[in-house]
Amino acid sequence: MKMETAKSLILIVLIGISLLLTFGLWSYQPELPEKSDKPPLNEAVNLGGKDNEKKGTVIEPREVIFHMDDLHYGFSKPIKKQEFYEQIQTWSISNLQTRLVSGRTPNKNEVEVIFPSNLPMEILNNLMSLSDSNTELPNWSFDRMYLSFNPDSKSLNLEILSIDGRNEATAIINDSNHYEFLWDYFQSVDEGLLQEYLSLEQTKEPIYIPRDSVSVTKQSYTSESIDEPNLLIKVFFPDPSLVSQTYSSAGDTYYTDSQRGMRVYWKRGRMEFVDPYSEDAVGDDQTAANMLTNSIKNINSHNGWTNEYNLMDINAKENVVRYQMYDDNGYPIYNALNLSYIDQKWINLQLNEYDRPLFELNVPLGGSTEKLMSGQDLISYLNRNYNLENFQDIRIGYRLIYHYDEDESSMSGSNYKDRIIELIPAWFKKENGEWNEIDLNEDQLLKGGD
Amino acid sequence: MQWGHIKTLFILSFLILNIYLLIQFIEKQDEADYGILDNQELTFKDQLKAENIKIPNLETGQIEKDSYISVSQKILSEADLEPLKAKKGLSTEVIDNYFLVSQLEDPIPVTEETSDIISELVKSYVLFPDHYTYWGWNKELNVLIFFQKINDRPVYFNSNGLVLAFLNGSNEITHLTQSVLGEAEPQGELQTLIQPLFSVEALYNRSFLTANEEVTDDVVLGYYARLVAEGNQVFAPTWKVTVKGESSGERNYFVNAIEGLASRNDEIKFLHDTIGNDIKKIETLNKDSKVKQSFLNATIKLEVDNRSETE
Repeated sequence: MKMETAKSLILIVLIGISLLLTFGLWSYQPELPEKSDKPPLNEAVNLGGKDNEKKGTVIEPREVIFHMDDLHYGFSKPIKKQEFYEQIQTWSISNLQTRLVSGRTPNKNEVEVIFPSNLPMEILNNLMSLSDSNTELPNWSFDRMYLSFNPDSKSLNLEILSIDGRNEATAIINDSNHYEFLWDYFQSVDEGLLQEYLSLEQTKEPIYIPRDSVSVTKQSYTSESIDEPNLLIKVFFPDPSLVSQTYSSAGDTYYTDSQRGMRVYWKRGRMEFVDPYSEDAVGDDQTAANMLTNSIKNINSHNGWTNEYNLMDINAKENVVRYQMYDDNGYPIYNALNLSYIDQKWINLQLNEYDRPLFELNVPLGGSTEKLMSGQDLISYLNRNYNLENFQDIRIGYRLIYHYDEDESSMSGSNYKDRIIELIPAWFKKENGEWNEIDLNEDQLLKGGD
Repeated sequence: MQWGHIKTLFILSFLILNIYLLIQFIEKQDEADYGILDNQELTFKDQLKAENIKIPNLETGQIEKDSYISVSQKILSEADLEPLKAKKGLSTEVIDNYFLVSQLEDPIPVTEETSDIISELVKSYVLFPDHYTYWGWNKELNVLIFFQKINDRPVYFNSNGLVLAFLNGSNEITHLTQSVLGEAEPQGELQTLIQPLFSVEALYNRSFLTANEEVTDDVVLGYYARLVAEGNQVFAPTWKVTVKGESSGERNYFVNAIEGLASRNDEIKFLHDTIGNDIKKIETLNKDSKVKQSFLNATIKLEVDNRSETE
C-alpha cells in the first residue's frame, strides 16, 4: 500500500514537471542583446524648443521686392514680408517646365523673391504647392524667383533662374484671385505697408535696401539657459553612463564617450558637439537637399528650435548648414561669436559637427526705438569707404550681446539663469561670404577735418 | 493490482516526456545565446566566400563582457623616475611630470624584428616596461612603436600611453619618448561585446573590407578612443582588425566592441601628429639641455614632414 502511495506521488510530481516545462517552452522569450540600433530618444529628453520645423517654414525669403517700372518697393516690416510669402506658398503652381537660357530680361512689373542661400531645385515642392507632385525637378540651384503678370488670362508667371543663369524653370499660377491679390500691390503703393528700396548695381547681383531711414526697436530680453549637463548628455550621447567629463580652467566642460565629444562653454552659452565616425566613410550620396532634410529632422528630434530660426546658408561643398536666430519682428540676429547661429556639418548623411547656443530669448524687457542711417546715406558712406564689388548682401538686423560676468567661477548654474540679452539694431554686410556689422565710424576722421 | 501497473507505465512515460521537454528547453536557451548569431554568421561567411575575402579562424567562444574605462594621464613622482635616473648611459628629461624624453649615449642596434627581442632591448630604458607591448616598426619614419597595456590589453594609438624609440640611419636606437596612463576606472556598466566576426562584418558594411582582400592576423581586443581628449579620457573595448589588400599594404581598423562602430587609423598620420606635439613639448625645455638639442637634431627630418602635413 505504501508503495502505491509513493508511486502516486511520483506520478503527480512528474505530471507537474511536464506541465511546467511545456509552459516554459511556450513562453520562453530569449533576451536579445540590444545592439547598434540606437534607442529612440526619450520624449522627455529635449531642449524645450519647437519640434515641427519643415523646409517650407525654416526657409524664409530674405527680401521680397516689387519692381514697378524703374522703382523698387519692399515691405516696411519684415513680419509683413513673411505673411506675404506664406500666402504665395499656398498658391497652386502648374505647368512646371525647364529650358536652357542665357540670363533673363526683367518685366516692367514683377515681384522678386530673394532667398538667403542657394537652394537646390529638388526642394521646390517643399517650398511651394506644386499641383503635380510627380514633376521631376532639375538638379541645379537658385536663390531668386520672379512673379509676373499675364493680363490676358489673369494668371501669374513664376520664373526661377539658376545661379549660373543658364537654366530656367517656368510655371503658371492660374487663379484670378491670386492675380488680383498681387496686382493690388501695384495699383497704388500703400505707404504704410511698402516703402521705396534702392538698388545697388555695383555688386554682382543687385542688392536692395530701404531708401529712407528705418526705425527699429532696441530690445532686451532675459535669457533662459539650457544649463543642465545631464540633459545635454542624454540628448547627444546614446549611452549617458559612458560619458566622462573634464573641467577646464576656463570654465568649460568637455564630455566624451571615446566615440563622440561635446564641449560646453557654460559662460558663453554655447556648445560644440563632434562625432567623427562619418569622417572616414567611403562613398558619399549626400546632396544639399537630403542634408537639409536630415538636419531639420535631427534638430526637430530634440526640440532644438529654441527660438525662431531660419535657414541662413547651406553649402553642399563644405557640407554645412547654418540657421540664424530671428526676433519676433522678423529681423535677423547676428553675433561675432556665433551665439545666434545653429551650425551643423553632415558627412555621408551623418551628423559630424553641431554647434549651437544654449540659451533662448525669454521675457522681453522692452526697449527704445532707434533710427538707423537711411539707405541713401549708407550707400554714399559705403562708396566712400568700401569696395562694393565684394559685397554680396546688406541687411538691417540686430547685434546680439550676451552679458555674462567674467568673475563667475561656480558651475552651480543658478548664476547663469538671469542673464540679460541685448539686441542692438544695425546695418550688416556680407562681404566675401562673411556677415559683419557695418562700422559707421570709418569716416569720422574726415568729418573731424571739416 | 491493475491500477498499480498502469501507474508504473504512466510514471515511465512521463519520465521520458519530461526528459524530452527538458532537452527541448535547453536547446532553445542555447539557440537564444548562439543560434541567431550562427545563422547570420553563415550568410555573412557565404558572402565573404563569394567575394573572395579571406579571414582567419575567429574564436566564437564565450561572449565576453567588458566595460568602457576612464583613465587620466599618470603624474610621475620622483620615486617613479628613480630607475631611469640611476641608469648609466641614459639622460632623461621630464616635462610637466608626465612626458619623458631620453637619449642613449651608446645607441643600441636593432638587428632582428621580433617582438620579444625588441621589447627586451628597450626594457631597461623605459618606466614600467612590463606595461608596454611592441606594436611595430614604422620603416618610413624609422620609429619603433610600443603601446601601453591596461588590464593586459593594448591601448591602441593613444599618444598618452605610448613609447616611441627613434632609430638612426644604421637602425640604432638613439632616443626614446614615453607617456604613461594612470589607473583605469570602469566607466558605465559591463556590456556584452560583439564577437570578432561581427567586427569583420562592420568593416565589410562600411566598405573598409572589399573583394579579394584578406583579414590577416588575429582580431585582437584592446582599448581605443576615437577622440583623443586632454584630461580624463574614455576608452572603449575595441577589436583591432588588420586588412591586407591585393596590391596595397596592411591597414588597421578599430571596431568599438560595444557599439560596433568601425574606424580607420592612419599610422603615419598618428606618428606625424604625435611627434609634432612631442617636439613642441621638448622645445620648451631649457636651452642647454643636451637631450633637447640632440632630439631635435634627430627628428629634424620628421618635423619638416610634419609641417608640410598639417599646413
